[in-house]
Amino acid sequence: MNEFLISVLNGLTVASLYFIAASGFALVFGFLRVVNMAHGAMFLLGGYIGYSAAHATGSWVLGVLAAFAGVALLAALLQLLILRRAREDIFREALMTIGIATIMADLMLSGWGGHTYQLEAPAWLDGSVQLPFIGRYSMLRLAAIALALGLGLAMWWALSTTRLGSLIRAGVDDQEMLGALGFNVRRMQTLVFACGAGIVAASGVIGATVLSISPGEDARYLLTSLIVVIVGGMGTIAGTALGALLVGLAEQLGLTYSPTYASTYTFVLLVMALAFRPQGLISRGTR
Amino acid sequence: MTRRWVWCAVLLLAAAVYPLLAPRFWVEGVATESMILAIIGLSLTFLASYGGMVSLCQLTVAGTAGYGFAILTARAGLAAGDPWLWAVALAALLIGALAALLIGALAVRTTGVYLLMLTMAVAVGFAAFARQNYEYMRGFDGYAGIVQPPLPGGASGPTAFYYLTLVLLMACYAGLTWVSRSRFGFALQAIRDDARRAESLGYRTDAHRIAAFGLAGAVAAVGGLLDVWYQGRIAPASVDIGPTINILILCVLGGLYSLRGALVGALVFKLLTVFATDLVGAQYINLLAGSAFLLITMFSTDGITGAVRHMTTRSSPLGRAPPEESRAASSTS
Repeated sequence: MNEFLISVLNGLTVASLYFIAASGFALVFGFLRVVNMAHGAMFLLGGYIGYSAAHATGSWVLGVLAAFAGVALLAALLQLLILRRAREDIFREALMTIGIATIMADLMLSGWGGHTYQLEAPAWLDGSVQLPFIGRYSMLRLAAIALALGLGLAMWWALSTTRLGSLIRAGVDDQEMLGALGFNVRRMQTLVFACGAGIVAASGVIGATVLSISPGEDARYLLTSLIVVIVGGMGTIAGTALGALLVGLAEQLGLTYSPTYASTYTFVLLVMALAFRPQGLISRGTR
Repeated sequence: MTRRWVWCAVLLLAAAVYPLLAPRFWVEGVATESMILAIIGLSLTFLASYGGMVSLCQLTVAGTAGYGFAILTARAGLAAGDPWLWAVALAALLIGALAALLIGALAVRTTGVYLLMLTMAVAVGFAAFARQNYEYMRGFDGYAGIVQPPLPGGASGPTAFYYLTLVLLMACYAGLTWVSRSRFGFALQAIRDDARRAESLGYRTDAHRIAAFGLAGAVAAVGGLLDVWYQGRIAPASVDIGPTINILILCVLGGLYSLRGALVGALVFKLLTVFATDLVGAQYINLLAGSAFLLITMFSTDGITGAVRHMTTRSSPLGRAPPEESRAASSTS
């Protein structure tokens, strides 16, 4: 029982990470229709920048901000200089991001080497707390769960009530109409792409703190984000959250009870979702 | 048409005498390796050009055949020279084709860029599975010391293996060309161009697409088998995201939407990596390949063969349209 509860909590922890990372992916996909295959590379770059910045300044929060700003800037440049050349041919855009990911992986390997990095959490998040039935559990991991919940609620609130949120929802539904109403859609695209990449980068710093990062983690987070959005449904926060929850739980419970087949459980999820609901568990109806 | 046959004959003759003239490294390290890549690439350009499906699973399928051969050989305890190895090779080929059919059955639930996403997930997931599973896949280390089946007449060595690879490459290329001009091939192209219309004409679109996956999978499995025979080992790193994307990169370099794009692309890619090691250092090979790939996607998707065709004929390539989202949308809605 105890083992089961701990795996569930671990599942919730990785689900939170997957949710934060995948929400950046889903935001970009929803608004720009860009399947960002450089998602994993941006996650890893964010983690590296966060690590270096946090070590240079001694502040974890500054590390997160530096990662967000650095990767958002890079993404804006990539969107302006490269992705726009595809003229909204989403297939070519996906291919381009694959090329970008390959280049980034090579450059990061020569910049930060093949080591594993783990970032120290801010002091107020260190230690552990006593939980009923479970025993002591890392404070940091609980904080990650709380952060994901907070981010999810904040994004839901922002998208459903604020002006920017309604603009983004309008853009997801019909960009031509939004442009005809006098909004600068192209500038919004760059902005949303940069923000999405920034969120991914920030999740990289959180990933580097709660777990660790090393070359190869980019593929792992790309994989989980792809599965999360395919299972959960594209372009909805609730779908991303549900997908992340299912993938995180399947992975951690699998690791506890049959370690050598753990990765197959997420695939069972993927296959079942595609077989019964190819549009994702929670979708917007039209796509 | 006759000029084309003359060209084919000249190329074949050149390929046949090549190992007699070239030094060993150029036979093994360049020609044989790029032909193996070309076979796996062919399965992708076939799916892309006639099925409109860009799959990132072709190396994964090759990997299942390679792993299948390694596992069955190890379980049966077969040693080098045992003719039963050919039976194992056939079984591994079937494993690869079966894996491709399963992946196809999953993949045809989606189209266009979603199919790319899904097959990427399957490819990375298979590598993760191979790394975690010790019972069959032997985890991180994989299999080493994999033996080749005996060649007819007791031939062995790099030159014999070169000819084996050449014959299989030609067989795969000719076979896929023939299929593309068969009834099945035309139906596949009709489905690529307008799935809904083909369906209303009575074609079972999903079945055709899955069959195309299976057929391409058999070709990829041939490449996978040659690869484990050549390397003598297979590990999760052989099917990881890097080599998976290399297959896509070489096809885009050569031209994703024509069968022979894979042939040209594999050769150019291999030469690029061989010379890049001297030019920029081994650690920047992916940087160079990725940049070349990015440049091509920025300007066209036809790659080298497309550029050549454009320069020599100035005519639009008939029936070689890239998959468009409008088509994908109309078939899913």
